[in-house]
Amino acid sequence: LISSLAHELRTPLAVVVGYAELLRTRDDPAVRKEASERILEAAERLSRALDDLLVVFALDRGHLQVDVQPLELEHAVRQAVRLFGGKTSGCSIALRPPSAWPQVYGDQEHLDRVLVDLLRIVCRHTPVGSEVEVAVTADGATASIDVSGGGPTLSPEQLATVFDRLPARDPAAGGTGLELYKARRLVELQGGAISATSRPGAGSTFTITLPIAGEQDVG
Amino acid sequence: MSAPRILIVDDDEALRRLLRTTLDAAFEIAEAEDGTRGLELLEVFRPDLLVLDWKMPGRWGGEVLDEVRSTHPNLPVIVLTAEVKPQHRHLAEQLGADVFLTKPFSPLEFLAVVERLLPGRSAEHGGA
Repeated sequence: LISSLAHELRTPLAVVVGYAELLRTRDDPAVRKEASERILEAAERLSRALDDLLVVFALDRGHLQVDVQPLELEHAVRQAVRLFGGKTSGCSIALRPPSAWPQVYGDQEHLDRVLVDLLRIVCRHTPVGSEVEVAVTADGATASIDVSGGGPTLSPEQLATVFDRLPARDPAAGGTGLELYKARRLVELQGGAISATSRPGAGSTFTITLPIAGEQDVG
Repeated sequence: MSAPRILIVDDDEALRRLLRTTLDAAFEIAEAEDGTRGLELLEVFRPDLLVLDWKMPGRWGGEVLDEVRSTHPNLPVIVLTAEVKPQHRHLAEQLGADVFLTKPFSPLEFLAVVERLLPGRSAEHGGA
């Protein structure tokens, strides 16, 4: 794990170091603008890789604190879309709300983390200008959040293992290879489940289901 | 004299862009995001220098380098990689890499290596 992640950390670090040196040695305003933007992007990438690493270490040791309680699903979903939306470009989010937003059992911080990761993964594989759809439904016992977009397109074999711990830059997962493993573990700790479907040419859908909070928990 | 041509094969878009900006307009650049595309471009673009990542999905750097050496024995090759273990360096050298650079790296050091491998070919670049 460490060896695999070391590779995933060194490349964005190279981008930070390289552009910092270009900032120091080049006067061209266009180069300096590009450098500052790319340093920020690489720093965010490093931050995400570090988050994957720390959360997975904590999960594997049973040290991760999860505070499951009734929460407003509308607030959680809209917050995740807002957190993600400010950081991305070329990918718009279409939110399809349910007829009535339910309360669900979950941990606000970890649910946000999972939703933002899913949005990022789907957006990464969605053509620029296309929509990523977040559709929420509730059926009485569970609420479902579908995150759909242009990809990644996953084969049946990839679908079978996509929520496992994968090597960094695995074609099915990209990045650290830990994002979807982390998502599955975090959703399960909240009493929910996560699944994926994919059709060639039609993109993929990641679905999170969470138990709807009972009347006795409301308020 | 035409601008020296450099082919960059690396699966990381941000890294490719850094190298392109480092080399700037004084060089003619082509990019490939994996080894298979890199080998295709090798024949079409006919570079004077190859910059090759080591760990990539699909055909990895060692496999690409082995094939490059069978068809382009004299093409200067810089392996630029996040793999820091000595066995990777040894293998790259055995396969015929001219230079093995590890990430993170200094763009100035990278430019110095390029100029050393392209004596009399590297154009003035936009430095300080």
